[in-house]
Amino acid sequence: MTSSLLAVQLADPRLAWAPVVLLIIIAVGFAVTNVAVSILIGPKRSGKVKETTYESGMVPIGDTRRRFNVRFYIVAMIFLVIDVDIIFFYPWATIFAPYVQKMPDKSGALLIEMIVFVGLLLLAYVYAWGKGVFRWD
Amino acid sequence: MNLFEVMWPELIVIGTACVLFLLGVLPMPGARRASAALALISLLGTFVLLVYYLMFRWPGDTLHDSSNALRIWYFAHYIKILATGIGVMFVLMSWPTNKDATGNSALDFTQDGGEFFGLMLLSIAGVMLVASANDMILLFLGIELAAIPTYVMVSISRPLPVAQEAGVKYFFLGAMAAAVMLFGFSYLYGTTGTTNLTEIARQFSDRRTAVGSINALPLSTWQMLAVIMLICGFAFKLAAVPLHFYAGDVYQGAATPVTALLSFVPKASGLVALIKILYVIGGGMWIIPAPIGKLLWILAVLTMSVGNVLGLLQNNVKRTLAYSSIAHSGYLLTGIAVIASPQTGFVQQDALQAVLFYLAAYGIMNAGAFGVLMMLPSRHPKAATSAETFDDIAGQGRNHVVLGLAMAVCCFSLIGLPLTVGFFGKLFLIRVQLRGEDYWLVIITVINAAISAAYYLRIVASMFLRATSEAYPHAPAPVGVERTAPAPASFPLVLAVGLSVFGTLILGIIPPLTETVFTTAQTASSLEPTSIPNATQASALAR
Amino acid sequence: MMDTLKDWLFWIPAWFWITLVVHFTILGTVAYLILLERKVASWVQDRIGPNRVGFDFGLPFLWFLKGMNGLGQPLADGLKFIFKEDYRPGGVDKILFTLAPGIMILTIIISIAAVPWGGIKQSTRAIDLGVNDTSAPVPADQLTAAAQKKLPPGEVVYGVPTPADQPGTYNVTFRYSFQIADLDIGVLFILATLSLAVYGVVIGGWASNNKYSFLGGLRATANMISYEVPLGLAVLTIVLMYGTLDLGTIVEKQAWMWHGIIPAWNIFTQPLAFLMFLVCIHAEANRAPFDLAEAEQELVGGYHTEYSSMRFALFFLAEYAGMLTTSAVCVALFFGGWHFPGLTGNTDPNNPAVTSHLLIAIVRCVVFFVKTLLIIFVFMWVRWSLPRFRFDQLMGLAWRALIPMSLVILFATAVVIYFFGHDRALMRVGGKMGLILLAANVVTLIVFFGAYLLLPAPPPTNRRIRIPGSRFNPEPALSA
Repeated sequence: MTSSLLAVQLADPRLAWAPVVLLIIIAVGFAVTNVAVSILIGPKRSGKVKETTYESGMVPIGDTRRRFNVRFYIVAMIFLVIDVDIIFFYPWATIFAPYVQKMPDKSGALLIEMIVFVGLLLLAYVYAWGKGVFRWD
Repeated sequence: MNLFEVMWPELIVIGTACVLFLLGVLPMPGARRASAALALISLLGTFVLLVYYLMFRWPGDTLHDSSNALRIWYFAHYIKILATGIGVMFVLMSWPTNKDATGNSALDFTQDGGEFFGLMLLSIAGVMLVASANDMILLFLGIELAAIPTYVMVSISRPLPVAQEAGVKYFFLGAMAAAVMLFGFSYLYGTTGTTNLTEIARQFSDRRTAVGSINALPLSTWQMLAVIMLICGFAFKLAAVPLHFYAGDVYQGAATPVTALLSFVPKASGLVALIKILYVIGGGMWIIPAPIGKLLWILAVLTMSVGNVLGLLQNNVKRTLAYSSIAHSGYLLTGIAVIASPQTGFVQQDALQAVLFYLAAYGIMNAGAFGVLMMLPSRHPKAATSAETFDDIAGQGRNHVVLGLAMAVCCFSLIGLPLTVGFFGKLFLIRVQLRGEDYWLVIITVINAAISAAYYLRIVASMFLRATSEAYPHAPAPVGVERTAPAPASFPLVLAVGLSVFGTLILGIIPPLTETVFTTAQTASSLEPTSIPNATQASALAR
Repeated sequence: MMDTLKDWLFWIPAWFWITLVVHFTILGTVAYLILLERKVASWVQDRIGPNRVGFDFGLPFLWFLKGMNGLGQPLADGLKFIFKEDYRPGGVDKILFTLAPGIMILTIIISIAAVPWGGIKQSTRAIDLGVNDTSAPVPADQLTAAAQKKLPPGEVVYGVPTPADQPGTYNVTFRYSFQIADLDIGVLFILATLSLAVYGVVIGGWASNNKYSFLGGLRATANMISYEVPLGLAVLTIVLMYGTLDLGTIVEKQAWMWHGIIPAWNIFTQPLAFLMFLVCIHAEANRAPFDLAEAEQELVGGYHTEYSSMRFALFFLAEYAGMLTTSAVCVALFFGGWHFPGLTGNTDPNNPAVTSHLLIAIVRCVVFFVKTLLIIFVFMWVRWSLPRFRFDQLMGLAWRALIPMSLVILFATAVVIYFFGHDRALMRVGGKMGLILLAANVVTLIVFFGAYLLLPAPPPTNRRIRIPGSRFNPEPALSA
């Protein structure tokens, strides 16, 4: 056989992100153009009453930016805790199946480590449940 | 020994803490009542296990896990025994059924009893992890594990606004100190490329060898900055001046058993971490760069003096004891200053021994003082408000003679009078200061001990020499305060105070026992002789 | 001249064209999705829906474009948005108010990038590389710089020297992914960009200085972050099965048939994960029955109450484009992506994604797109069929049901893989693996129903309040 093989040449991995950059440019252009056009050709009328924000036709009472219910903060905190744990799951999930196939003897430790990790996560979860964090009624 | 065997003590304590958290949310009130017992059993069990390891199973060699992130030598073991032993006293002091002299509940966790003990165990486990950590990440985690639960404990320890305020203050300042510390760790990591303390120590020692002079400065500018930042962070945990400002408010705001815990557990974690970092820099021979030595010297002197002088000015006994604890941080730091001084020979090891002994002595005698304070009734006889001001304790020594005597013993020991363990603590410290030929430090320490005597004696004097009515000349005696009625026995609290006073006295009166503790501290202070592995091992460990 | 142009066009990488085509197709589709939504609504409610606007623009000579069953409606809507007044009330945060719809549309548009529309296209082209010695293999990186520049963009697989009439010329075979961006972390990329959309919502709600907007923004934020957790866990279940974060690979591994008849799509192996994913993407898109953030009866318009004209249109477009992206991800993860038995070609059993025919690649894109539209149809169907949840039900569903369930299904999958996944061809064992996973799903579901029966019932919170004078639940008359 006279064929001569060229070795596999992989594209530069950074090049894979070039379309994303292109999309960002397109998206920014799209948003800016549309808003600009509508500002340019739309009518402009203003007035004292029109200036107010909508509050079912009443004169707005007080300021909007006030303290709000602490439950929203608690949701955010619990979300942070659990979401950070999920971030730890991703590398693990990516390597687990390959480990099971290639190095079965090490995969057991991998599974147990993650079970311990999730056990602690569940402990926090059960605690939060018991403390009534997940009750919104 | 595999990793699990190395970690059993920590695993027991942390596992129990997890169970306690779950108990805390169970709907049955009985479960919450069991939490204190569970915490006590776990700490006692760990204590016994550690003593058993030390006496019978110890291979006499450094233990470490495969990644060398945990290294356990006698030093770590000593700290762990100390933490669990003193921890037992703290659990006894916070027993939910404890009552003060008027029969009021001395504590009020509202609904958080299970969590309180869980947090306490986590905090103690943090100190234990700091003791065995050989990796910067683990070291930081240990310090924070010791600190973060205390922020919560301060807030939930009693349902008073002042406790919430103290908790928030402590949290924000503690978070900032942790940030500074983490900055230091990150610089150290950035300049050495590893988080493993053994590996960092090897790099420093290599550099020292390369320079040729054993006293050469092995730290680059960035590393020096890192170490200073670390010392800042540790100084916050130690409540060393000038990072002591939180101490007064926080100690006063928290319930008394929490104050007792605050004055020991975070301090121990900061001190141990400081020793570890100095050990890493000094590479087993304690060759510390002179600027760091001077910094620690100034820190020690300032901490002692400011703590004692401010202690004189307080009207609140808990606040006085807070400043006393700052001053004791200063005494501990004088030992560290001797370690960091450019002395050669075995002075440094002796200094470490004295520091470790002093830590034990301080832990024992301090718990007793707070325990007695808990039992004295306050001016406002409601739950979880024990005696706070000097007026509150006025004349109480006459009403409750045993309590007064116990307080007197603890105070004498905190001053350092003979026949108490505090005397030997100061004795050993001053001895190493003398051997380190640091006469200024000796003089300042002695003067400080004299100053501190003033306010400790003021506590004792108020209890015995002032009349109760004298304290409240215009107000009628508070309702329910039957001064003459015998104090209702609240066994756990009495046991805790008894243990503390007993320990304080017996270690001060019977020298062979003191000698035993002192030799244990000596064993602990002889840090691993082959701490620096050769290059190939170290590079293998670094991976 | 033509040849030069053709050559020049050839060196523009394929992703450039794909990006443009996909982007504008999606924008067009989104416009028509709004029409589709109205049509579905009218279908559900047994009316006709928009059917007047055609493309005649009122011009008599375009009479044959009149009507068109309402197909001109999106164009009319778009024009209307542009000609409306772009109004900004007083008291708003000027920068953030403009930024919010921008963030929203930006994140949604770029999130579409990692969707694997058409598998991998393989092409061959004769290129003069100037290598005359054909006896030994020539690695690509040892070619001269000039020759390397001639190599096509993308992944070069191999080159075969042409017959002797063109010395130095190779038939170079190369591949490129038929998608916008072939990211090896595609799953993470899509999750990350989609979760950024919450910033648009919360910033819009905050900047408006309107109480309805603010409450809507808060609700939307709580809703979106709550459902992000089970969403991530459901996706993880699939990631765990294949050990990759590349959506293209995940699709490729589904492109075969069990016993020659059942497609090996994950809907059949992980139905529970699919259901959770479907629920979560409904919630992430803030659509009924999870549209608490813009509940008209309570909050007027939710976080975009104060928006008008094109800025409102951007929010509106982003909502539908987000639906499109999440549906496409759903198709890729659970419905075999571009794979359809008998249509999409399966030339090489080891590399099912590779095709050398442009037509097949386009058919694959169409298949993918049709599947996506079907999912979107489910979105609309649900919206017009189910009533809205209460807020506590909404949050309770995420935190008390979906999160533990998704954790358990994740670990059931891990355990199954641990015990049965030693075969190198995981998921290719004649469906055995798939059956076990299906069984694991069913068992998890049963266990959860059992557990919920055991849990103490929550306190009754939705009881009827007795009101004096009410016809339906009157206050009982006071007995004398």
